Amino acid sequence: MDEFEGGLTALLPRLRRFAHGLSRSSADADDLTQTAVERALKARSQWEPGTRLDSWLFRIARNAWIDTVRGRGRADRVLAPEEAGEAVGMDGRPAIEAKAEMHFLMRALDRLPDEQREVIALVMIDGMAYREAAELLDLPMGTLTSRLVRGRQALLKIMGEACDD
Amino acid sequence: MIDDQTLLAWIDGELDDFTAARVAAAVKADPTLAAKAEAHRALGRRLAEGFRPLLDEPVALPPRRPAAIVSLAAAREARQRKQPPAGTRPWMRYASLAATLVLGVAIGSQLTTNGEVRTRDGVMVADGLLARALDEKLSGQDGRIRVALSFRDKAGDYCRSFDAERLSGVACRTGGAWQMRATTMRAAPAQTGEYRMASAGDPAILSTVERLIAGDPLDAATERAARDRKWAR
Repeated sequence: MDEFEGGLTALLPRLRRFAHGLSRSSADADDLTQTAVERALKARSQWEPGTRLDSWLFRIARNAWIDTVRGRGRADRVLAPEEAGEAVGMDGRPAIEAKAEMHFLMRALDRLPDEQREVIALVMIDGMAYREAAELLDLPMGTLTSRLVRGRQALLKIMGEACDD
Repeated sequence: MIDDQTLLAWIDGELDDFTAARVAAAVKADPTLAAKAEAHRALGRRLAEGFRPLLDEPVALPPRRPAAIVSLAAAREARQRKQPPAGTRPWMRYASLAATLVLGVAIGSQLTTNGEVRTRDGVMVADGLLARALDEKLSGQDGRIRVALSFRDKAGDYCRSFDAERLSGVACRTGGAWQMRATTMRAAPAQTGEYRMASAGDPAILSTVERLIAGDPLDAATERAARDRKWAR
């Protein structure tokens, strides 16, 4: 395994987490991860050694998301699978609860506009700095921060509603 | 007055020291602002924690698909008539199967399979031009018979998948001859300039490669060295 493949492999869990932040189901997230990796492997000559592999890879994933998941539209949104129970019988109780929590968060994120969702996924789930996220998304800082603010306000509201149920 | 944007940038650690101190003082002095900050902090923690378990789950690179190597080598070779390929790069493993369509270049005289294969002790082995091509050609070199890729099987023998005008297959170097491990015939020769399936991409050939291969296909340098040693194990 060379430096590129080694770096890519080390980033896979982070990539997959980012994909979960963007996707509406774990299955979609894994498909997106797979697509991003395939594209990255094909495009590896375009990565310049010495530059950040994570930003490069995440940008590919984000573009793949735009091409696929996002392009499907919202018509089938109500059919988003309920995955909370999928871990039953495989893991202990804490793991089930952790999965349920993640899928709850994914459903909450799914109600955000896409441009807010991608910013939240980068900054709040992956923990990227504003500047890196802005560069990755090719956005001015002001646009990034205002999307971040609106996304967080909306999420608080969505999750507040969910808790009131 | 601290707006939400500034408050959140403070929570995220994105402010310079001076502004951060100003926000901290404002939050301390204003219970409403403090409550809002805490709500956003809690949201941040929840998102960070909620997705963190994914980092502990192992993820591997996608499994290799020898299929793609075969076809991509052929496609690239057809596209750019240059040196033999620089080697089998890892990304080629995942190339799209769409690459299995290559421009077929049919050449005047027909190869009959009689001239390419014979039986020896009941085993099909390469003969004539095919034997010579398997002995001498490097992967991706043009000609009536093209070798798509070379690899070692689990016994350590060298094997090569090839593509002739009407016959394609996989042969392994055993007992001083190229024994056929899989062959497929085409019904009719390809027309000049016609698109056809790269026959090394035939499912039967691919599954044979997959079944036989041990490790990675040979890169260009290894392949050349193996050829120069006359494919001795």
